[in-house]
Amino acid sequence: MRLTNGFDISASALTAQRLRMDVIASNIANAETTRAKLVDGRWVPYTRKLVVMEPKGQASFADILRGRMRDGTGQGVKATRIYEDPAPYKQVYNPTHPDADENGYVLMPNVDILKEMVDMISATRSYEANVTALNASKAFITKALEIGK
Amino acid sequence: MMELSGISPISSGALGKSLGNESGRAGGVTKVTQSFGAMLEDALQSVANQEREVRVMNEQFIAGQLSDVHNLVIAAEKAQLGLQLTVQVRNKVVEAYQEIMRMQL
Repeated sequence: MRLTNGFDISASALTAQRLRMDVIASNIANAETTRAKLVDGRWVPYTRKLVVMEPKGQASFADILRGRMRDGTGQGVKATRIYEDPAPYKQVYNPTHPDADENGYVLMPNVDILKEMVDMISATRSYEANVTALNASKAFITKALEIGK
Repeated sequence: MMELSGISPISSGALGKSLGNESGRAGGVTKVTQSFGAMLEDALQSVANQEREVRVMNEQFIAGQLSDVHNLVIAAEKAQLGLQLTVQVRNKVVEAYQEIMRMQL
């Protein structure tokens, strides 16, 4: 619907930011996880996950056509992929750990709590900004209804 | 919602008749009012659909199946705005109708 186009755009961003928040929550929850998957008989720690976002309506011919017919305003954002951070795992000396190697080192996840906190603030603010944008779109329509009153 | 949808045929029909019989451009006006009636009915139908959508989402939310709360609130806002817009248009039509009925012949 054309009238509430702005709503749909903001709603897609809210959904994307919620997903981002979920991924950050997962990263923080698994900041100490040493047993994410078993590779060749050895436990590999949890890998930090990140969200890839893409403008909506790029997937198919129909989507692109629809986008052009809407004066190219776009249809919002879409989280297309969750990828794993290629940064190396942290090595921590802890010989008492059950997953320590022969030298006493344990591989810990490449999650940096500080980075996650910053990302979380960014996601929260982004969510708030999109709610503000949505409220502005709504204010436009509500104000338009007051014409001629 | 259900009562409201009865309004459009009455107002468009009455308007079409009262204007169509007196005016010189009978065909044009009738056509305009009839298409307007259809538009209003479409609008009411879409508002009713939005309300229905909100009800379904509300039930999902209560049952704990809805993961994104904002979608529910946005759907509710859309339905509310749609209803306000329809009511506003209806008010204008009724106003115009009353204005014509007050006309001295």
